[in-house]
Amino acid sequence: MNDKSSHDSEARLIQAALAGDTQAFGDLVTKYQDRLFNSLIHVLGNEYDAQDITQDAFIQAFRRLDSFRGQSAFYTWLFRIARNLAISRLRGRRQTSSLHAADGSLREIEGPDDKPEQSLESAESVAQLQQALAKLPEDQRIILVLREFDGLEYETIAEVLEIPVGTVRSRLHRARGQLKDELIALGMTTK
Amino acid sequence: MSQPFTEEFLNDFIDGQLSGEELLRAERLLLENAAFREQVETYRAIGRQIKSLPRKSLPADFSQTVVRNLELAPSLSNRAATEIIPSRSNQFWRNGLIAGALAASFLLGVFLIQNQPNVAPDLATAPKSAARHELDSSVEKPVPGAALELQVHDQPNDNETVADYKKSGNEGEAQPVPMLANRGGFQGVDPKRLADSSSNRSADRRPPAIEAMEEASKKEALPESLGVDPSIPLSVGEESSSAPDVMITEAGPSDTDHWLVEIPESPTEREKVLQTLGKLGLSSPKENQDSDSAAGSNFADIFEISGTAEAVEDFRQQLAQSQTVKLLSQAESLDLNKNAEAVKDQAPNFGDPSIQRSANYADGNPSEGLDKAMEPAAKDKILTVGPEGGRGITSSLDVRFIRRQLATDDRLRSVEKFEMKETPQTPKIGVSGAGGSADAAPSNSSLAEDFRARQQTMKKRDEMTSQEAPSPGLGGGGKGEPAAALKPGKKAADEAENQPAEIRRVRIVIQSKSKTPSADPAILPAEKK
Repeated sequence: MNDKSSHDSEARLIQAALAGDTQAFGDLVTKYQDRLFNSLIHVLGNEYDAQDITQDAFIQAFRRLDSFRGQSAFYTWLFRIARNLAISRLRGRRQTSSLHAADGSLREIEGPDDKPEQSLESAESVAQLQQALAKLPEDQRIILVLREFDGLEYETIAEVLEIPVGTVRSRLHRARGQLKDELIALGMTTK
Repeated sequence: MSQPFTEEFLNDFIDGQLSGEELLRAERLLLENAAFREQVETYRAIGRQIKSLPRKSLPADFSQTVVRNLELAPSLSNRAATEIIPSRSNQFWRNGLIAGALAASFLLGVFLIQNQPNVAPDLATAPKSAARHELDSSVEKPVPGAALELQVHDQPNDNETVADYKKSGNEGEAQPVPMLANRGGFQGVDPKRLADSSSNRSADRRPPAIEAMEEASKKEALPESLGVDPSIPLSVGEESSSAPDVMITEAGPSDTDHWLVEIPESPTEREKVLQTLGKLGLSSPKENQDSDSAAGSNFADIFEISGTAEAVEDFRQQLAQSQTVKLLSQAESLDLNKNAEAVKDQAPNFGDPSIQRSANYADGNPSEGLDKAMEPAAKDKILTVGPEGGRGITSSLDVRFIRRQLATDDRLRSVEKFEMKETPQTPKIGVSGAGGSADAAPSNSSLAEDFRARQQTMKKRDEMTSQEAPSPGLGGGGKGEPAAALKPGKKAADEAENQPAEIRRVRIVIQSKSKTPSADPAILPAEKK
């Protein structure tokens, strides 16, 4: 019920935005900005780029809203845009700087709250995980973020990445394996 | 009993993709197979670790910023239909179209070359890059006396603004690219001629096919022809998988000395690029690092934002309302329009009386004549936000805020770096407001020194104003008071005349990738990041 009303509300906002109501679009931005931003932080490896791409993604989404058919969730569509922008940014960055922690960019991400029950107990372990993530190929990193961080189902991931579900499965397997290896190489326990 | 299992099976189990018999088998394995159990534990732990990565919140006004940007650039939404975000499905067709267009361009280019008798001999002997420049000259009228200039080609696609260097003049008139030989930069460039050539360019567009061909050869040709370190690719256009490290393009038809230089974020790469720019006489790598160095960034410390009066006013209001930019109290306004009164009336105000002073820049600044020579189109306004006089005011957050604003308003462009250059071997440039010298020849003098001299001048002016300004309150007293604020500006200007007089300002625009502003609203700007 909640999902349905949320979906209806979202559809109304989209309709209003299509009619030129930028404030309605602003409500959509508010709804998804942090979710998108946080995923992008871990895709891009730093908050600065993530913030830029988040904004760019929303602006692109607004410009292309008339092409949104409602066949997938708005966030799925939005993330697809963001993902394309993020890949462009990553590829552009490759020639100019490193995503990796060598330049300190990953250290910009602060650690989690110090709650004993959390798996990550320190900012250091967060940084290590970020380093390991950053070493993955971008497609593996994105899929891990979508699956593990964002909690998306295989089918949704397939929609976002425009790949078959089977590819999602195999890519995810490879990504997990490689991440495990990277974490071990960094001396980080994986349990 | 130990049963074999595959990684796929293991992952499917972790992700809850198994059912029925497979699920029962996995559960059995979990009990009986230590390796399986260990792997499951490991992957689940990794999943938990990723899930527990910190989550951040964007600034409270983020959505409003996005909305403001959307509202400020209504024309952007009109282009929605033409914008394509690359996707797997259209890559094939896109690549095919590009290949076809390039082939057609090449054929048309060959045809045009064959119809240019003056060019053919040069092409026969010149290296590849030189040939391209000669082709430029043949298609477009040369600009005698201009050692080096930038040119902008209008593009129907806002992702594909093209900028290009061109050596001007024919064999007899051409100067030996003094910018490269002399780090002073811009030697022999005649602003008027460049301005004229800019306006000619607007009216005299080159065939799209030629532009496409040039674009295709640009990356290799540009560094070669300019003596740039080939290891640092100079390129233009949109961000792509081979995004350029440096993008140099022209800021607009009327801004003959506005250069847009894309600088990588990486300090190492940035340093390399700045060194190359230094070799070109475009920039001084060292002295103009900003107050943000503590954060490891190298943002330039001055933003000069220019655009239509309306756009600049919009932007000024955004800055004033922004919750992000909190440190703009020292911001100054600089308007190079000829009408000083209008400038005073419209001077941006961030609560600092110096704003009013700076509004009189056109009246009292020693570089007035130069400004006039280089001034943007009359309809343009310029807003300067930055630590004039050496006062650090912008944090990296501020800088990024400003960049984001600029990135989403096509009517604006920014100049983030100012430098002053001495030209002791030439007559004064426009100190009395007589207009810029046509043949200014900057020397090799220290840019750092020039910059410091300029800062001192600004500081003196500020000090005088703070002593004499009747009310430093918010708003500077409104429209009625700028006349009083004029005085210190004039005094400072008189004093400034005793400073190294032969100075000219070079504007280096440093901006983020694929941002290609244009002063001409008819020109679709490049897609911005």
